[in-house]
Amino acid sequence: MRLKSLELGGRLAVTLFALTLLGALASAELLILHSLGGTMGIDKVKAKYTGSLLVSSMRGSMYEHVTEDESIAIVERWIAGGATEAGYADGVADVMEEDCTNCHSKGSTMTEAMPGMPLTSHAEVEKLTVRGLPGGKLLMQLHVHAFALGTILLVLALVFCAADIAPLWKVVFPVAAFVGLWLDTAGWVLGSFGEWAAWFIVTGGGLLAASIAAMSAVVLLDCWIRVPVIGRAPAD
Amino acid sequence: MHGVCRTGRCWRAAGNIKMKTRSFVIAVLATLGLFQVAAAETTLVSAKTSAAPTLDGMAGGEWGKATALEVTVNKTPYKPNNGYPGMQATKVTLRAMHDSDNLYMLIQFDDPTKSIERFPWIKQADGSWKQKADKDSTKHENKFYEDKFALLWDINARGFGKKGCAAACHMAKNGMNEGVKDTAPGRKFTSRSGQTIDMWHWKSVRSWPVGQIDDQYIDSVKDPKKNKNWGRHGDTKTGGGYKNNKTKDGKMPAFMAKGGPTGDYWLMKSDAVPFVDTFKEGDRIPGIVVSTFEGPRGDITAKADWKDGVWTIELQRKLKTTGENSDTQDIQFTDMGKSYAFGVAVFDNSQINHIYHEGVLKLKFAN
Repeated sequence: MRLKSLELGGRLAVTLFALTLLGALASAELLILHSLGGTMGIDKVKAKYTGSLLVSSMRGSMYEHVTEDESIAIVERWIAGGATEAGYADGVADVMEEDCTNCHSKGSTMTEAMPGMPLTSHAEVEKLTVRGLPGGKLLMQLHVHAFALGTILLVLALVFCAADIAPLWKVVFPVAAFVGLWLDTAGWVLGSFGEWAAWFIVTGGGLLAASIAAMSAVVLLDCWIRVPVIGRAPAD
Repeated sequence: MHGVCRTGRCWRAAGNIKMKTRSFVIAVLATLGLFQVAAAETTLVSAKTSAAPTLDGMAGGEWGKATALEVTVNKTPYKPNNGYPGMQATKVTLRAMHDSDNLYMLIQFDDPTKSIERFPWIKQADGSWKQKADKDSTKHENKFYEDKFALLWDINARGFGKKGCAAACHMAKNGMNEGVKDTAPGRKFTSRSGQTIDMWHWKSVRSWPVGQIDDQYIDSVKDPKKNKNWGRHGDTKTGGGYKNNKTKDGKMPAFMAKGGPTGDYWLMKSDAVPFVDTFKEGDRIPGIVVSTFEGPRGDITAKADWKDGVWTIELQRKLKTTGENSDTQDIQFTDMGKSYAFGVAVFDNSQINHIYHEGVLKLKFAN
């Protein structure tokens, strides 16, 4: 089967599928950008995936609620010093009170209340000082990405293989996409062992996003025109 | 068509490839555009004018010169437990102009209900008087109350420049706030001594009838023994203002309109005479006596109107106020090159529950 041999409805469906994937990819990138605090960079990735959730949140998605950068520095010094109860009482509790506990308390009634993640005591805050993604969040992200992206990549790869392009690319892009997915998720798992794991995430995530974008673009174009550079004339 | 396509001639026969390519590039970009997150505008630019707008509670005239800033307010500090049907979100449109002496602002927000029935007295069948109220578990009213709007201006409060009004918001935890047992869901105060926020509080019953905005401020008081409203205070006043219309024992109104019931939910002090009960069951007396604030608390003149589900408020205030304590109680617009941090909140018939936005807004002055 060739994409160009599909009825008009089939090609429109494939086109819309490719456009949907490109749109989803763009929104995913924006979401990642938001979670990193508005700017990309290896330091941001290290902080989010291999640092403590507390600090990465204060630097990332919660940054707008942090009164000043010194508040983050106070928390970082406390974690580096062993996250002790005395250290918590001597400064960290004030930071939590000033920037966090309006929403992060068990009885919070605010629109964006997070009663399930209270930050009103040393024990509650200390839980979020462990390096890497917390166990529950890690498992949730892993299984969602594995099931959802695994399925999407398979469908995209099958459609991609029906494009009129050189056979080599039909191996390179699908494999690159799956390798990217594995590297990315491996980075999350290994994040608690050291900052070096951030490179897995950057490399894997980049490979995954680039592969999805390339395959979607090829599929999109091949429905209607000859794909530039790697396209070939359809067989009669 | 199918056969043609299968031979591979379809795309060649279809015409101009460049045009098709361009069309699909545009289609891809348009789709991606749906997912772009536009950065919300947060700066209100005040237009310079030589003709002051007429304060009449209407949006026309000179206001056409001012650029609007739209702000979505969609957060609330708590959810009243007495069936409060108030708004959970609305859009606030702000415009500003200034001349050499004054700042003028036009504020509009959607509110489908005009709420002015603030604590009215109703004569009962047994001859007694009862002030209508239906307070929630926090002991605050959300039914027999008034619509309000607040503008908070940063004077020197830590964190306001980044977090806006949230810098002064302190929610109770397990019924305790700053070590004090408190039924209120939260309190307003600044985090450090000497830091203040200017608060312009428009009220549809207590300030609308007198053509003013209640000029208030927030400081660091967090002891209800010092001030029952914690950090919230009225600016210094030399006279006037509003007062509950009730006798010392709280059992009946203290005043009534000298010409008989007006139908209003407020009683103008100039029209008030001592209460004499000649009323019949179901008759209503306003729960509040109002008069013009005198002194710094009356710095802000305002006219307002509610029409077709929209409140329109026009205000005027001196760029620089000079009253007693004005440096600590009032924002001073003395540097026309500076950005002034502020935040807004809408109170839909609610005593303390308000709809707010996250982050901070800025006011700049155009030359």
